[in-house]
Amino acid sequence: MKNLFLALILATTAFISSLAQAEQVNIYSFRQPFLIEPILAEFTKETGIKTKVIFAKKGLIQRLKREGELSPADLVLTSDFNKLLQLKEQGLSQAFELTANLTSIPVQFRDSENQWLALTKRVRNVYSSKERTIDLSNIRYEDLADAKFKGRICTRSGKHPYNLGLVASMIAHHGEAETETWLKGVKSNLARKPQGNDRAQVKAIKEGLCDISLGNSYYLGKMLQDPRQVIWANAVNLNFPNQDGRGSHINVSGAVIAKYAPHKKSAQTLLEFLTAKSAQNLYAELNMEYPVSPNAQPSDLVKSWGEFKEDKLPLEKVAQYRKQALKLIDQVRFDL
Amino acid sequence: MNVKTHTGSRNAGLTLSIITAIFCGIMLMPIIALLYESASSFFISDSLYSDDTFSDLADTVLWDYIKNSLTIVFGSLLFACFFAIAPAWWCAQYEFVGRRYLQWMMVFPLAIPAYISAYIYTDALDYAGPIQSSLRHLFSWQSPSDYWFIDIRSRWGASLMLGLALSPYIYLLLRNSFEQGSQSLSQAAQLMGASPRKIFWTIHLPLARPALAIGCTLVAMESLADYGTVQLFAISTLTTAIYDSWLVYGSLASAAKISCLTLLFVILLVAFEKNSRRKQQHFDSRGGKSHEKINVSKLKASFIWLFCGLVFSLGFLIPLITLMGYCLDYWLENINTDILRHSQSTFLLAVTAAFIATLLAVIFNSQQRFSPSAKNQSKLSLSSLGYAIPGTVLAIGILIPLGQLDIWINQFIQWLGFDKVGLILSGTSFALILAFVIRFSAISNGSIQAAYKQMPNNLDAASTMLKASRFKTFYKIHLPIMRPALMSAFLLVFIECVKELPASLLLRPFDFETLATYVYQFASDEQLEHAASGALLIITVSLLPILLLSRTQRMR
Repeated sequence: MKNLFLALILATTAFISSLAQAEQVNIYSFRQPFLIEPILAEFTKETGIKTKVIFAKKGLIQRLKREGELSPADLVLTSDFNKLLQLKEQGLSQAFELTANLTSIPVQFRDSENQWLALTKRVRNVYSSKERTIDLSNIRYEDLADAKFKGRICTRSGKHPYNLGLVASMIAHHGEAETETWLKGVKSNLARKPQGNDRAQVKAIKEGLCDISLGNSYYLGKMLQDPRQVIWANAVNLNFPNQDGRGSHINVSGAVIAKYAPHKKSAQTLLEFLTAKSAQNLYAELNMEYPVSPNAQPSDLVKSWGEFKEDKLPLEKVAQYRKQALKLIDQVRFDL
Repeated sequence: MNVKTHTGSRNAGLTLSIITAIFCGIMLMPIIALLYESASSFFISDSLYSDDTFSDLADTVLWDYIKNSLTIVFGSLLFACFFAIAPAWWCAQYEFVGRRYLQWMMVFPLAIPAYISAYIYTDALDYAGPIQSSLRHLFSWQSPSDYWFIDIRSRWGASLMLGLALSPYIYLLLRNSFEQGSQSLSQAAQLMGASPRKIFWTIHLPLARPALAIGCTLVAMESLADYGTVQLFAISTLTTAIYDSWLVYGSLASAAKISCLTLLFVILLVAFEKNSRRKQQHFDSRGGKSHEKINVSKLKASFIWLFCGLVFSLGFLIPLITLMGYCLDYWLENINTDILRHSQSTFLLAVTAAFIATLLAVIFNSQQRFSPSAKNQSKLSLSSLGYAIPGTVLAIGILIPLGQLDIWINQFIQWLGFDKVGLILSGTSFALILAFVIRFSAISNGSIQAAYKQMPNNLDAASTMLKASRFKTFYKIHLPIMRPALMSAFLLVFIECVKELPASLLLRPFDFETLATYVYQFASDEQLEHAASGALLIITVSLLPILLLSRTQRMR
């Protein structure tokens, strides 16, 4: 019992004293620490400001809400745009200062009221088997419902934010009724029940379980780096959908400054760091994502996948349909 | 003098009663907070959109979710009983070569979180996995339609994984029970010419029913609340529905409704079990002779080893070896000095929580023992409810009241003229320990309860006749008898805390990782290979107390 109290007191004092240090940023992150650590380390090296991270995939928004004005969080990092907009909607964010650096970020990648900011872009691509598939360079998302692909498509859960975003954008472009028909079509083309992550689908293509899968492009880069997964990556082609029309669906990872951030100034510094050229290049090099800053370049590997046209529909617009999208996915029993 | 002692003990009883009531209140706090939140969202209509999430779900997929959940609960129970009952009997009843080792080996599968073995078996048994690939190569099959193979990502696959991982609960409780079971009854039956099989089915198993029932309740609750395994296997259950409706739809009200549905299943389960053995009351009446194990033939011993070895390999050895393989394949990623720090904090946290949970279980159960009443029984049952709540939901349930308390504390301190102290309750390990205790009290309660159920009441009566105080009765009689149960209570809670994931993820302070959260950040991206060393450490840390226990109890 005594030890317990001691431990508690120690933890408490450690916590309080950590609050007292001025030069630091506390981060709630939906992204895995190992993805952002190298970039944060660079930030600390450059500015001397320390970073502290809590990572979880679910529930951080609820935690932030419950903590209210006592919350130690300064910055929230998300891996999709829905969460950015939820943070804003629920009044958990505050405006960042739109400095000259930040104005260089294209307007569709930052909030009109400066509540959120995108950091990287990710494209929802269509992977196809090198061996078995006909040329898919002209494929549209709409085509995935085509009966000629029956039993040939693999995907992860429809409720994953990346697929949810895609369905929401389909609703934004085609309306709810048409999207439902489309979803039913895709569902009936699936080779297996939705499962695993985007890499697992590529693996399934390699093994001949299916010919086509949905997946973000950076996974291809990640797989090429992994000695055991490189054979999967080599079995597929990467296609950018809807190139003749509206362009490929884009999702973003991003950040908001928490409403009650105790270290707002440091958070702003970090935000600027993350969108500046050097960090954007790091994102591109390490995570194979597309930088939002026009000053930074995708990595050489990513560039080799070719130029592509992006869907310019504002993300705020797409996000309006996320509830409808989720409902549709349940209605057509996509995951069951 | 006499009168004075009486009032003294009554006062003590009252104090104890108040203490347990307070703890019971704390244990129920998260549930009440959630219910309150969801109820208030009914009356205040300031939400951005009307909330019809629940009826949407009910119209579309809720029935499938319920069906899946119930199948998994039922399947896990079936598998867990199959894996646990026979070994528990053999280890309690027979003497054979290596029994001392085997009886602890059967507990080892507990050290591997179900989501980790699920990951490993999926990797191995999937279409793209090594087994199917080589089969295809061998028989030159081309596509999945050419042959049949078990689909591990199914309800039965999930049941198998959970059954394997949870079977040690039933095993431990049953073995304790069998070992303390009545010798004289079985001797009598033997004299009447009953076969050993008949004796087992008609005497020993019914006698062990309280332990079996408690074990099964634990397994059922755990599999009902499981998230990691079903998520990996892409099976939608009630737990998934709770997460979805809350964290994706953003509707706390419907999440609470589904939680209530889940709780209802648990309550039904417990009530059914209690009702079916309402009229039974059985105690151990030891015939003075201490329990002696029967020597078995070589043939039988090898069969025992074969069966138990299979369970051990499936539940422990194969995942362990696979993890080691990952570790070697990705050794660069796996060398990490942080991991040792994480193990230390995990260990400290788990010891604290297990200690508190065991202590509370002893207090609650001994109170019910000394003054059995419906009130005390309901306190006991209520304090176990936390087990049935999925970790993330529990975590938020804890954050609601603790956050409020923190706000009051800060207001008070500022009113006194000091600086804000921040989130001293919800932002520290306090919240985490509280979550562990609430979630896992059911386990320690179950273990202690089973021990008390087998302790004859006449022991207490004798002690009272000798004018021993309750405390003395407890200290001199109960405590020594239930020492093994205490040990297993502590052990089970400890291991669960080490493995616990969703609540730890959400409640931990900055720069604080438990081994489970560390491993999860990789496993969630299906890259468990990169954190295999962390997973191995979870297993090691969980095994420590098992090994320690086996040393102290080996002499039996």
